[in-house]
Amino acid sequence: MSNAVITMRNISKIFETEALQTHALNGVDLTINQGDYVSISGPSGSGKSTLLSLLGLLDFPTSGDYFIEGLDVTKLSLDEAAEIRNVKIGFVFQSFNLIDDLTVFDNVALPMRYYDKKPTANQIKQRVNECLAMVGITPRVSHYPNQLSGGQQQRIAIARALIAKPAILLVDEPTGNLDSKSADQVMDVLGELNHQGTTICMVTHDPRYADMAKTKLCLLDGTFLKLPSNKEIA
Amino acid sequence: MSYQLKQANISLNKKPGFVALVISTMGLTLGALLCVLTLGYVLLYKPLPYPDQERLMVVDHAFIDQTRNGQPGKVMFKAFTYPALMALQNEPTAFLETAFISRKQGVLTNHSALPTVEATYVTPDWFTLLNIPMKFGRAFTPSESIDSYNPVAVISHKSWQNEFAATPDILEEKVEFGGVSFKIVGVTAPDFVEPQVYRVRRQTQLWLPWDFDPLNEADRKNWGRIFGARMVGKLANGVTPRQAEQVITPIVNNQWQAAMAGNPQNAGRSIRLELRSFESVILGDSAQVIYLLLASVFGLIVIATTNIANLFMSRTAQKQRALSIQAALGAKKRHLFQALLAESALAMFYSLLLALMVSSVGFWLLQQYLHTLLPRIEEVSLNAFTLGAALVIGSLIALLLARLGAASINYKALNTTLQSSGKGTGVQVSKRLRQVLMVCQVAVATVLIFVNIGLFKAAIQSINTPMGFEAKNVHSLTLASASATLPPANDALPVIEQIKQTLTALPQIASVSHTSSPLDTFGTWMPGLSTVGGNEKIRAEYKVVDEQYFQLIKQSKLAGEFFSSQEVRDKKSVMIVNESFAQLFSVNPTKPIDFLGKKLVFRGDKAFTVIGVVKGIEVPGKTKAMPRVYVIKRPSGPERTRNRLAFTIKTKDNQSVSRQQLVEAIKGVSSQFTANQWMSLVENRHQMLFTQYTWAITTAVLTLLTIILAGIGLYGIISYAVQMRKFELGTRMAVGAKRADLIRLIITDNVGSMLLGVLISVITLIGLFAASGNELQLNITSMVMIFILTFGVISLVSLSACYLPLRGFINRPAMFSLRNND
Repeated sequence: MSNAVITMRNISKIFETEALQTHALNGVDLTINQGDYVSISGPSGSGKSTLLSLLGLLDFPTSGDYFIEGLDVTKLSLDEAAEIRNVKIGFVFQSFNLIDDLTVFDNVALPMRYYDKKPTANQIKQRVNECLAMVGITPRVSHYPNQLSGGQQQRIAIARALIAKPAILLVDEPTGNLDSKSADQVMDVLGELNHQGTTICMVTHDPRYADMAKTKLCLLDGTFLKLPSNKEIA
Repeated sequence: MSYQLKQANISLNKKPGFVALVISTMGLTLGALLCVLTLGYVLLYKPLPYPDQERLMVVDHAFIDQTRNGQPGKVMFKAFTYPALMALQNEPTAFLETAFISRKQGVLTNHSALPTVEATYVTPDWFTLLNIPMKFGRAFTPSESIDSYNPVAVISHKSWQNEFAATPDILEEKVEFGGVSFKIVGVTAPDFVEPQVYRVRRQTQLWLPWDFDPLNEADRKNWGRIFGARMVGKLANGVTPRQAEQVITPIVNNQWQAAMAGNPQNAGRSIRLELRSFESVILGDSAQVIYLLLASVFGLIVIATTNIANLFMSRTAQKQRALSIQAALGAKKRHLFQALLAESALAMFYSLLLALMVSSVGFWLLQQYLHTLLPRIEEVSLNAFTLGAALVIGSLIALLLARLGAASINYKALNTTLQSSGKGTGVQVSKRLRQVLMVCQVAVATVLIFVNIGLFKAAIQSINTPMGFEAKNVHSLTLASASATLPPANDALPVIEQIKQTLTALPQIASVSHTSSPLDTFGTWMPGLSTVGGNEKIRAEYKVVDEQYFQLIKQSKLAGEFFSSQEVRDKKSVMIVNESFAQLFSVNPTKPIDFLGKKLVFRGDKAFTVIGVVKGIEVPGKTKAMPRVYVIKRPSGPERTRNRLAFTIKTKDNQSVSRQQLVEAIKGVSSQFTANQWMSLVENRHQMLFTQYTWAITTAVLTLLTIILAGIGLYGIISYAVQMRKFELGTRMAVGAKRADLIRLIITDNVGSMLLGVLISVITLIGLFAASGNELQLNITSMVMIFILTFGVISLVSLSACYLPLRGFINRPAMFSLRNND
């Protein structure tokens, strides 16, 4: 039995305007297995963010097939895609994407508010505290995002991404807006999470952090370049 | 500032959609406001176009019953007597000048077309009091003063054009009216505005000397009421209306008391003369209409201004990069405000140009369609007041828009905007301000919609109320006398009966009743009817009818019989009553038969026996069916020819008769009479319901405008808020929010403001009802129903305003909302 969390076959994405067709992704194949830590790098415009948005069902491919844990998610309705995002995918954005009007607690709890089966307040509290503990932010639950440092905000974003025990954590340039110390802390958290079994797919420009992944992929003009794995290098 | 205006013009030219929305919204609503403001100015503040107009008074002659119904000083009715008028002639203390007027509608019998004209009998002072300008000839002079009997006439400019084809030899012409030939001595100037002291839009076509008022010698000597006669006067210098009343009341009252001495019926009664200014008489109850229209258009302006304010603030937010660059180059807050002011002033200038055009169209529409509803309409036009009001209102709104735009600029934050690729927060409309705008929109819109639906409902109810008789093919006809005085009834009635037979014989006519139209005024019996031996007097309206009347108009019979030909011939003292009247005598509404055979008396005269009960008729525009009785003859006093000049006539299906055909038919019977007014009851009903039609259309338009403007406004506010939250919405979608979750989120965020707006509107409405004493005459059930309807409309508009801006985000992949933000 396959343990693939993500399977993409021949995925293409074309952006069209009246005057122009842009091929962002050209026939991409990708498999990410349970427990993998994959980094995707590449120059600007290579299709990294597009790929991540397709992986996260934030957008839909123009062609190709996409499976999450064996489920065909290529042609879902918007609401079906939302449900998959809610329970199977965790997002970490470069700019944190925390909601300014919500406290740390409420930001982290946000995905649970969208469960079909509404959890109790106690269940939410317990799970939020677990996730905040995993990223080391526990005492600051009643603060608002703008009262925290960038590193702290990104760790809260990671806690929010973990809240639903997702099948995969999609991480987009997690250190892009952070100083090096904070960036290291965030990467440590991600490493630890992977060590505990969380599957991670990360887009990054930074070769240092790309090297921390078990599998390194490089995109160029919408297609993967074959790179040796860390195991192969070792 | 010229530089700023030039830049504003360039900037606005780049946003034609924005400019079109601002100009159309503000142009239309400001146009409506200017139109109603000008109307209000003319009616409420503009002096009448007569010399010393503030001293011009109409004198009312009130009969007072000191003891009636335990209310001392109660006015029984208002009508002059001829001796009272004569007693006041040349009264030297209270008035500088006085004039008498009375009116009559009749036919110009020497005119080939036999046109019906409105004539006014006046004393010469009428012309000097009003300083009536003349196009040709002269006004009345002392040669036409009372008892001079000089048969001359003045015609109106319009009549000169319409009836006399604007002939330059008009002063050589004569007019024959009421059996007298009058030499035309003058034509009024086209710019003369006649004061409408009788009713709105009654325009005199023919002025005749007072002496020719068709009152006979007996009427001139006795103290009987003469309805329609008025006394007007210019107060003497330094005399107030109340002082004048104190001077002239004893003059008339003392003479009347002396004349009535020994008449027990007049015990405890007296005469009181009351003065009303020309302005108030002409204005009538139009002030209420004006205030209501003003309130409605002010409400629309509030909503429209809120919409546009929101648009301007959103636009300011969109321009933050340009503002940032200006700030970086040294522009101070004052400079940014000036730029915004130039833009708002320019937009308001264009809006005002459209508004002035809209108001001009509005003036034309008012003159075309509301001239029978409101006085002085012909004076309403673009004037200095309109332009001044436009300038002031436009400037204030421009300042407000610039001020609100400036308030949304965080000058300090502007500098960081450039460093963050234009994604800063240098310009933002605060959440609190957005909420205030929303509360304001909902509150004003709810009040306007509620009041307008209430008025609309009342108007539609009046329009849809069945009249209780069939008006199809039914017409009213009144006869005019061809002689100066009407022949006595004994001579006239046989001729009128012949006319009836002749009309009945016309092939187009199905039936003729020698009865006035059911829509005509009914007579009133005072002090009322009572049962034999009973003391309680029941006031009722009455009509003298013949045997054809009820069948002709198909008025329903509830019990008993209609009048028979035999009863009419024998002039039996029998009576038919309507159900409202029967109910006043505690008759069981389900058993009107119980009322048959009851004998009713008037002033102790011979009793009338009730032989039938009919269903009541509803006169259009009246609120309820009045208690009414129908008789074959008047209960007391001699038969008068002037009361028997009306017919109700039914034509055959698909047949019509012209007034000219009737004139010819009547001419074949007698030259004493001619056809005066010929009108279908369906048309008459439409005329009587004109006010209701006007209100129905006006309130429907105002309701729709309010809904549209409020919808646009709420959409604009929520759309801006949603746009500001695009990134947040994307994030929520990214973590699993479904479309329903986001719709719920936006509704939840705005429902508080909306409910607060509704709450404020409820408090306002309660206040309005308390202050106005329920002018809409709504019962609690109607109020609740209308409120539910209003709330439903506002909720629908608000929910649509929440959903529509979201569509662009929630119906696309989440990436659309997140793009360009991370």
